Amino acid sequence: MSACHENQGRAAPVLSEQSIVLAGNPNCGKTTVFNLLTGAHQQVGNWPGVTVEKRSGSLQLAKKKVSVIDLPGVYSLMGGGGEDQRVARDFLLDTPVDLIVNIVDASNLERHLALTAELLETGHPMLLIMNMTDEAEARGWKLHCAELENALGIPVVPMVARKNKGRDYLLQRMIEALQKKPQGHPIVYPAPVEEALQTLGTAISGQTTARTRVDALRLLDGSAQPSSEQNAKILKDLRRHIELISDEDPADLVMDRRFSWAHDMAGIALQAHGKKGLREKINHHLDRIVLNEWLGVPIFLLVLYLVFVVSFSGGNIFLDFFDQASAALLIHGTGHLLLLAGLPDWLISVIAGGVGGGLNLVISFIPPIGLTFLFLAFLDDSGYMARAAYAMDRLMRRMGLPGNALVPMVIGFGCNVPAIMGARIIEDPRGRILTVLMQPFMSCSARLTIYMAFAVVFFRSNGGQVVFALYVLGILVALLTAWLLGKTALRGETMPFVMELPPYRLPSFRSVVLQSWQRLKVFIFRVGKVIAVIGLVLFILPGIGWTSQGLRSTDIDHSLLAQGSRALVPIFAPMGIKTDNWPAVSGLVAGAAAKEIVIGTLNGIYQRQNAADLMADYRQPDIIGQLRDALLTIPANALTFVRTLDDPLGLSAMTSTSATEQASGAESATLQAIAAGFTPLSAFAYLVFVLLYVPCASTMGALRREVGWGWMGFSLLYGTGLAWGTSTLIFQAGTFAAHPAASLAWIAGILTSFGLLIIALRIYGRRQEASPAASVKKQAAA
Amino acid sequence: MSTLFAVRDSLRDHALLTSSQIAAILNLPKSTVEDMLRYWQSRGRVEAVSLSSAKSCGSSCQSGSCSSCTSPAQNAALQAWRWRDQSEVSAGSVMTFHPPQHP
Repeated sequence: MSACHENQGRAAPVLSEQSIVLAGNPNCGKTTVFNLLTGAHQQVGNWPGVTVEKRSGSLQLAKKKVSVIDLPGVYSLMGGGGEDQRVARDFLLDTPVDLIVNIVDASNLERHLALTAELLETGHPMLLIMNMTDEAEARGWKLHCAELENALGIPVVPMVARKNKGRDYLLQRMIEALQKKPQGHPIVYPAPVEEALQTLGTAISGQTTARTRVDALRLLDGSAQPSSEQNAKILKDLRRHIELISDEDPADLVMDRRFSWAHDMAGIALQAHGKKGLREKINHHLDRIVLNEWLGVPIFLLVLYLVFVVSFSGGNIFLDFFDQASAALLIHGTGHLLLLAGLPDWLISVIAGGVGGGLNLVISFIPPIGLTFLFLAFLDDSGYMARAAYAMDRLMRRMGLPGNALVPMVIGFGCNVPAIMGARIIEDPRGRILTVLMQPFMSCSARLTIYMAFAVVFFRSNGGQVVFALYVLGILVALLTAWLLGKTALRGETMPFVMELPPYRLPSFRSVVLQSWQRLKVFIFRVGKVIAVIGLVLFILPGIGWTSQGLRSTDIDHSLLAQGSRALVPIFAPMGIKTDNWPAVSGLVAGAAAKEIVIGTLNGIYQRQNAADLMADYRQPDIIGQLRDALLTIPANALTFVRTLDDPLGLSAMTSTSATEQASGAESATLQAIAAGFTPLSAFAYLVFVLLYVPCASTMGALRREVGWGWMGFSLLYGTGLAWGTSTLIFQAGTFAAHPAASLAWIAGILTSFGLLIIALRIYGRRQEASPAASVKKQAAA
Repeated sequence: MSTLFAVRDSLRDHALLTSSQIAAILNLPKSTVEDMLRYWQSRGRVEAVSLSSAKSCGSSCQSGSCSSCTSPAQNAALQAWRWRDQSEVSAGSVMTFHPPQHP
C-alpha cells in the first residue's frame, strides 16, 4: 500500500556508490561547500537560488570514492516553494543516501534549524555544518558546537566555507559519520501527536519506520492527502481527538514544536558574548523596561520632563549672555552708529528698535530652544521616541482611542500640519478623524518660542517645569478630546496602530547636531524673519486711530490696532488680561495666522511703545560695558543652575512672588513689557490659551483638507472655546480668594457649558448612528 | 518555549503588530518570526496589512524642521500583521505551510 499520493508511482533512485547529499536552506553556502569538497567551480553567490537543480561530483574519502550531490536550497520537506525546492524535497524524501550533510547559516541559526528538525525525522544519517561562523561571531555570538552535537546526536562541524576554514575537520567527521551512520535525536512531539503518528504510521505501512513517520507527519499537518478512505477516516478521528485534548489544531502543534525545538537548539548552540552580545542584552533589557505595560508611560513622561527642565535650566546659563550681548550690538550699537551717520530718529528707531529688537528677541531664545532640539534629536536618533509611541499606544487603546494617533502626535511636537497629514496612515475613517482632531493640541515648535519668552520672564527658576506642564497639558487635552468624541459624536470600534521599532543605537554626534541645527536654523531664520518683519511693519506704519475728528494719525496706544484690541480685552479679562495689556490681545488675534506672529506682534508693539527711551540709549551707549556684563552672567547663571540641581521639581520657586524673579536679567524691552503686563498666574493662563486655541492658518487648511469644513469648523470653535474655558478656569481658581463669588460663577458657567457640549455631541452621535447616509465614512471621504 | 503560539498570542493581545515588534516582545530573531507569520498566513489565521505614510509639511515646518519628512521610520512602507478571528477564516483556507521565498 502506498502511503501518500505524493509517493505513488515514484521509484526511489538507486545510488551505486556511497553518497553524500548537501542540503540546507537557500543561501546557506551549499555550493561553496560542494566546490570545496569536489574541487568543482560551480557558480556561487550571496543570494538564494544559485542552485536550481541537483548536481553531483565525487570526493576521495579514506581512499574511497564518494559521490557528493548538491541539492537546490529548500526551506521545508513538507511542501511549498518552486520546482527547485520540489527537486530537493523529493530527493531527500525518496532517495536512500548514506549521509545528509545539512548546512546551516550560523548567523541565522534558529531559522535554518527548522529544516534540520525535518531532516532528522527522515531517519537518514546526518552531519551538520555550521557555516559562516565568522559572521555569527562578528555579531557577538559564541558557538558551542559540542553542546549542540550532544543535543542533536549528530556530528556538528563549524566552518567558514568561503574562506576554506574547517575543510579538513569536515572530511574527518564525514569519514566517521559514514562509518557510524548517526541518525540523531528526532523531535519528540506532544503525547497526543506522538500517539497519532504511531497509529497513522501503522495504518500506512504496517510498521513505524522513520520514513513512515515523515509520511504520517505530512498527513497530520495537511501537507499530504491520505491514499484511501480508511486512512482518511483514521486521520479525521485522530485529528479530532488531538483537537479535543489540546484545543489546538494538530498541524499547529507540529509546527509549534518544530519552531520551539529550533529555538531551543539555537539557544544551546549560540550564546551572546562580547561587545555586540552585550549590546543585544542591553537592548533587550531596555525594551523590557521601556515597553513595559506599567512603566512605559511614566518613563516617557519622565524623559520629556527631563528634556525640558535640563534644556531650560541649561539654556538659562547662556540666555542672558545671548540677550544682553545681542541687545548691545544689534540695538544699542546699531542705533549709535546710525545716529552718528546722521539718520533721522524715526529711521534709527525702525532699524535698531524694530529689526534689531526683533533679532535680539530671537537670539535670546537660542540656548534653551537649541538644547531642546538637541535632546529631542538625541531621543529620536536613539530609537526611543518610537518606543515612547508604542508605550503610549496601550494606554490609548485602554481608553478606547486609536493608537495610530500616537505617531502623528510625536510628529506634532515639530509641526501640527505634517502630524495631521500623517493621520492618513489610519485606514479607519473614525480613527482618522479622531486623530486629526487631536493634533492641534500638540505643542509645536512655534509655540515653544512663546513658552520660552514667558518662562524667562515669569518662571525663571522653574521654566522647564512650566514648559513641560504645557506639553503634557496638550497631550492630555488631545487624549481627552479623542476620548470624549469617541464616546459621543464618533462612537465605534478602535483600530490598533502599528509602528516599526527601530533598533536602539548610540546617536552619532554629527547626526544629532545636524538635525538640531536644521531645526534651529529654521527657528532662527523663519521665526526671526516673522518677528523682524512684523516689528518693522508696526514701526513703519504710522498709528492711525479713530479720533473726534475721524480717522487721524495717532501714536500706537491710540491707534486702530489698540482700539480694536481694547474692545476685545473684556472677553479675555476673565483669564487675567488687564485692560492696558491690549498688546497681548493683539498678539493672540494675529497669532491665529501663525504662532510665530504672537511674539512678533508683542515685540513690535512693545518696542514701538519704548522707542523714545531707546533713543536716549543710542546717544550714549556703553557697548563694551554691556558686553562685559553679558559675559559675567554666564558664571553667575551657571552657579544658579548648580544650586537648583537639588530641586529638580523647582518647588521652591513655585511659591516665589519676588519681583526680581520677573525679567531678571532680561535686557529685551519686549520681555520687560511682558513682565509689566502680566502676573505669573495670568501669564500661565495666557500660555494655556496659546497652547489650546487655533494653532495656525496652515493647520486649519490641513484640517479642512483631511476632514472637511464641518470638522475643521468644530475644531476651530472647540479649540478656541476650550482654550478660553481652561485659561479662565486656571485664572479664576488661582484668584478665587480675591473674588470668590465671581470666580465661582465663572467656574460654574464654564463647567455647565462643557456639560452642554457633551450632551450636544452625544445627540449628534446618536443621529449619526441612526442616519447611515451621513456616516463618518462619508465625512472622512473628504 | 512555545514560540509559534506565543506569536499568535501576541497578535491576539496587540491586534496589529510588525514582525520587528513581535521579535522584540518575544526576543526571537525577526527572520524566524517572519517564518512563523507566514505559517499562520498559510493557515489563513493572520493577514498582512500594508501601511504607508503620507508626507506633507506646512507653514510651521520648512526644510524638515519637524523631522517627519526625513524620519526613515515614517518614510518606509510598513507591513503589519493582524490576527483573524475564527469567524473570519474561510472554510477553504489553505492548510499547507508554504515557506518563504526569500533569504
